[in-house]
Amino acid sequence: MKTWRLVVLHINLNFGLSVLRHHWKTKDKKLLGQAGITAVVLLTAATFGGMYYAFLNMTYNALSALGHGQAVLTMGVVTSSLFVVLAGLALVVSVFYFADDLEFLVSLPLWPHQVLAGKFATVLVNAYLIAAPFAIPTLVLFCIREGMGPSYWLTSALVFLFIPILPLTIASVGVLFIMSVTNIGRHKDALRVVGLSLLLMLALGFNYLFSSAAAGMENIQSILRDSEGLVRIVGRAYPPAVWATRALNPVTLSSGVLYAVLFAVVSTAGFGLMMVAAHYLFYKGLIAGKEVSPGRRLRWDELDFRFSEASPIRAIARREIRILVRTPIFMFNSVAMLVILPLISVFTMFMPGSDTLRALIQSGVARQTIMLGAAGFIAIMGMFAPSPASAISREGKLFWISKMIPVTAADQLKGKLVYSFALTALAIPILYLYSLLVFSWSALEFVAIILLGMAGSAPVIISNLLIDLFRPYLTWDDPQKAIKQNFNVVAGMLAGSAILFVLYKAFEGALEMGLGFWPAWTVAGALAVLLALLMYAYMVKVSDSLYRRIPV
Amino acid sequence: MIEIRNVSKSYNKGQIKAVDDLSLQVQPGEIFGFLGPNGAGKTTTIKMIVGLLEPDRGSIVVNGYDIRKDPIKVRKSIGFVPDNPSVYERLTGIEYLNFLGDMYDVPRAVRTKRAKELLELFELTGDVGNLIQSYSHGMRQKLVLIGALLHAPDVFVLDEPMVGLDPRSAHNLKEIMSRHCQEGKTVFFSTHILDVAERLCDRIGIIRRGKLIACGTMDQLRHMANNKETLENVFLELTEQ
Ligand SMILES: Nc1ncnc2c1ncn2[C@@H]1O[C@H](COP(=O)(O)OP(=O)(O)OP(=O)(O)O)[C@@H](O)[C@H]1O
Ligand SMILES: [Mg+2]
Repeated sequence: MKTWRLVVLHINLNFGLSVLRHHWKTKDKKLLGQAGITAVVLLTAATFGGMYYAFLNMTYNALSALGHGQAVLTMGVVTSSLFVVLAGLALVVSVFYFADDLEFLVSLPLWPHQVLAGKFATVLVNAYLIAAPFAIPTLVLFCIREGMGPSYWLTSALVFLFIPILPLTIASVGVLFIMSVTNIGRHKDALRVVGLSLLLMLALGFNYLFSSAAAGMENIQSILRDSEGLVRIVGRAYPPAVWATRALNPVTLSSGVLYAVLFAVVSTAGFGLMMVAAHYLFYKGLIAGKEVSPGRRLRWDELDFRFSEASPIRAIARREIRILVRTPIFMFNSVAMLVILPLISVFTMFMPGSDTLRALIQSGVARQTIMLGAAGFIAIMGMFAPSPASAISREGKLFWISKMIPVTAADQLKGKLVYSFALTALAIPILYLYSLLVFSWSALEFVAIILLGMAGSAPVIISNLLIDLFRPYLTWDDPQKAIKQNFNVVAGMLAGSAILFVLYKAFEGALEMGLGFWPAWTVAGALAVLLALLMYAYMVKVSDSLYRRIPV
Repeated sequence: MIEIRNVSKSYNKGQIKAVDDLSLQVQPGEIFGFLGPNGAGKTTTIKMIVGLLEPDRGSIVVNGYDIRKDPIKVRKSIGFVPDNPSVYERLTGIEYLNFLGDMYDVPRAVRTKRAKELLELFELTGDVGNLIQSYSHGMRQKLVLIGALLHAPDVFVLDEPMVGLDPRSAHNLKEIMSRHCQEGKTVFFSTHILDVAERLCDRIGIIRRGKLIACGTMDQLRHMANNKETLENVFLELTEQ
């Protein structure tokens, strides 16, 4: 009962239901803003869902000709589960361990697993949002293409409800474990970032190993002969996906109920297991989770050497970097993710059978395309690593300091720009590693990639910063919300993608007009710089009046 | 010097009138105490003085600068201690002070000297190398205090500064406040501790539902009430109904 109350409370807080009701009662204009944001988020999700639907449709066409149409179900379930695990990790850490209300909740007469159940509800509703753009198109597509009836609708609704549960419990148990064993010593935060990164790698690597190993082991013929062969191959990394498929497939629909029940029971059991784990591990990782081991006490005369002077812009950039590096959830979200993903793709280059792939990418046109892709990688890094779309939002309740200090908003934003470019430059060593291991770029090519990449990142970063400037989200209560569940981050991603698309089109247009590869390269770079300068001038112009309007 | 002229501020599009046509002046060399029941509008007023909130109407001049026209100069003149000392948890105390020093353009030698004095006074020297995350509530409060004094502001604004301070620190703060006004500077603070207000302040203002209902020296306030014994009696009487 208490657990249920907590669950309801958390769902209320997550969606800001009480706040909405308040706005409704007071006929606040903010309600319109909220509705607009919800519409944009839904639209974005729908666009992604639509793209995924188109992709599945093509896959289905190919597979159903071979009589393996139901494998799209397996694919859909595996994909949505994988995304829930990946996105869920950071979400779980933040909600379980860094929410503001934890100290209060811990003080209530509740068991650890009851508190965790409330927190889990928050994560779960978000997991449905993550799973939906993948799971819903899959279920709908299969329904339409196979002409399924009402019993399918029911089962698929049930399957959808259970899809995120097991992946999320897996992520939660992993996080509970990592957080409880790393709750030691002085470098706890660093340990945690490393532990969580390992967990993420494990999840990705596990999936990758199974899918690639599976393809190598059996020959295609025998897979295709068995009507469920493909389903089992795709579902090898995650057997529950096979059960879900069987529950929904018309051929196996008679025994389907059993598999639906199996899917539900195993998910519920996973949840139960997590509750048991929570009972023993949750507070171990949490209590004293905020404890920091102090350093040596300073003496009066030592203080002389601890003071240094810097320009305001540099001081702000330094503050941003320090806070990012020392806040595990920010660090994990922005840096670790983007170091891990490229690293994993380097590894894949060295899996058996990848020789031909490497030969292909080192030659001719592919080589040029990949150079463009590498420059794009730097620009995209600019959108994610420093998270410029949450640069102001992340200050949260501490924004009062930014409003107090006698430094113009423009200068403060310049500090944030310096910080953003510094983090974006982290892409350079990663690309250098790539160059050494795979692409063997010449020094000139490498420099060109960096120049275009950094130039491309500039309008992306500034546009994102502008978006956050217009409507920063300062009232978050756990840091994850500032950096991920922040509408500005979604809008920033859209704006950044649009800018990169325009730059790409300019490059392509220049090529079509008969310019060579390098002149076209320069055109794209120049356009990026121009866009950046225009937006920068605009930002400087409006910054002070916008800063002043932000309430604290 | 602080000059507030006909300032109004409402929340929620006029539904809550937090400050209603408020006017008052605080002269250099004066300690001004701002009293009033919970929700009377003290914090709102203070936030407008320091530039955290924009007034709907009226003007505020601090140290001769209008907060709208010269916001940067106003901010340079002000040292502010908010009611809730939230600061960057992930910085160390010294990093925070250095950050503020850079923001307020305090030369290194000056900031070292001032910070050392204040850190000693508030017994924070030993902890200043640690992350603020490890500080107690009172330690944070003291750090914010030191940060607010680092640039030797002409106008010192504090919102319920005594809450959470131990007796010695509270005593030190009172000393600092009176030394500040002896140097010809201005102190403006809100409090619920009437003893402190009575003993420390040159003048006291009482605000109720956004309106200034009384303002003057202790003697002047006494004249406004029937029961003149203590400030507590005066306060209770004036803020009744
Ligand atoms: N962010 C806000 N949104 C809406 N109303 C607010 C907000 N902040 C304050 N108020 C309202 O403004 C009025 C004045 O609040 P204020 O914080 O200035 O009071 P106060 O005198 O500082 O009270 P206290 O002694 O409790 O600190 C109250 O009615 C309060 O409800
Ligand atoms: Mg207040």
